[in-house]
Amino acid sequence: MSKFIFNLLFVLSTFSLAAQDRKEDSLLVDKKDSGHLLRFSFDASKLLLNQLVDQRSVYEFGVDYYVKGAIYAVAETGFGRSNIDYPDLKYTTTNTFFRGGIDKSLFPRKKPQDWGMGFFGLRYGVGFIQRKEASYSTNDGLGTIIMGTVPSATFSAHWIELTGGMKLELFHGFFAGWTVRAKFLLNQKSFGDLKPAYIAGYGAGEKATAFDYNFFLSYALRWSAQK
Amino acid sequence: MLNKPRQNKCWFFLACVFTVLYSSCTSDRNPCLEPNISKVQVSCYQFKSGEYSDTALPNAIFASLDIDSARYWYWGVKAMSKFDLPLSPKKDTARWILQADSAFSLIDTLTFVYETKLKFISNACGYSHDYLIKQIISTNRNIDSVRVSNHSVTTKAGIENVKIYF
Repeated sequence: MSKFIFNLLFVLSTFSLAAQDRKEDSLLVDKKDSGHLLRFSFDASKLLLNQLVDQRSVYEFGVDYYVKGAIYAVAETGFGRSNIDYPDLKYTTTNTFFRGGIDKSLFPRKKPQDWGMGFFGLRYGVGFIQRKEASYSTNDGLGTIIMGTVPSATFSAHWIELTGGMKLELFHGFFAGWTVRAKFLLNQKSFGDLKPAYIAGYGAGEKATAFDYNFFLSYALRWSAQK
Repeated sequence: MLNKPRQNKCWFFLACVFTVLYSSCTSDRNPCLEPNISKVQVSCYQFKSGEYSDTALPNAIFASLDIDSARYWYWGVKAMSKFDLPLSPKKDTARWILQADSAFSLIDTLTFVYETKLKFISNACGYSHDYLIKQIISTNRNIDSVRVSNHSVTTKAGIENVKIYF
């Protein structure tokens, strides 16, 4: 009996939520009057991470622009390096990267000045990587150490990303937000034998799938669509 | 829309700090979880009741004639039929002596002629060497014959390279 009452209350609550949604829909901002937003971001978490980790560093920046209908065009760029210094393997890489794509806000805006958002999105990324000459040593299991070098190389990495996250307006024009990313490398085989341990903007070059996050701090320029 | 109270913003920044700290703790070199030394796997067979079957050597000796540190690689091991022999990436031949029973059987010599190939395993394990067996030569005091069943010697475990028939 109590189960039935619980189910009944649950069904009634969904009706009341639907009614609330209709009320809220009537308050939604008119899409024609949605204004313009151009938001500049940098990843603050990577600045902190660069101080804590010697082996690699990365700097990431982004711009997003409100297109229409909850869609934002996004362009991101950055650069970084890795310094592999293991007893049996040493090399350095540097790379720049670019990402482009869209974010779609999950919630409709309720006021013209409301630019906070929860979102998911899609990116295409490309990185241009330079690896300097690598040195290695091998052990044949019999106590013989053999040392050698691998010539320097340049190559590019291509990947796609699924993103999700949120952006909050802390105070007028200044935003903070996080993004989580699932990345899928498209051309791992082109790296050759010595796959880079770290590609700034992507992650571990040895893995076809990578996960990452950003904590962006942003400033937005906003202007009205109507004159 | 997402104008959250100040408490939510504090949680936001705390999550940021903890995530960064966690990332900084997990950025060391991954452990190498796979074998990184290639060895020739030698298996011993005997002709019994019309077919060749796996045979364990009673008291076997495998000793390297070239590599000092492998001079006593297997010394009096009992009831083993499969043996893993190292090769040197600095050479292109390796000579091993084999005695099936150290108490009384005759000694044979196996000579492996091979090529060495450098192989990158992973950033966790570094580089290694694979080998390609070009030829194997043996004496026939106790051994009947020797055959290369798989020329490629890699770090993959459980792949038989050479069959020795008694």
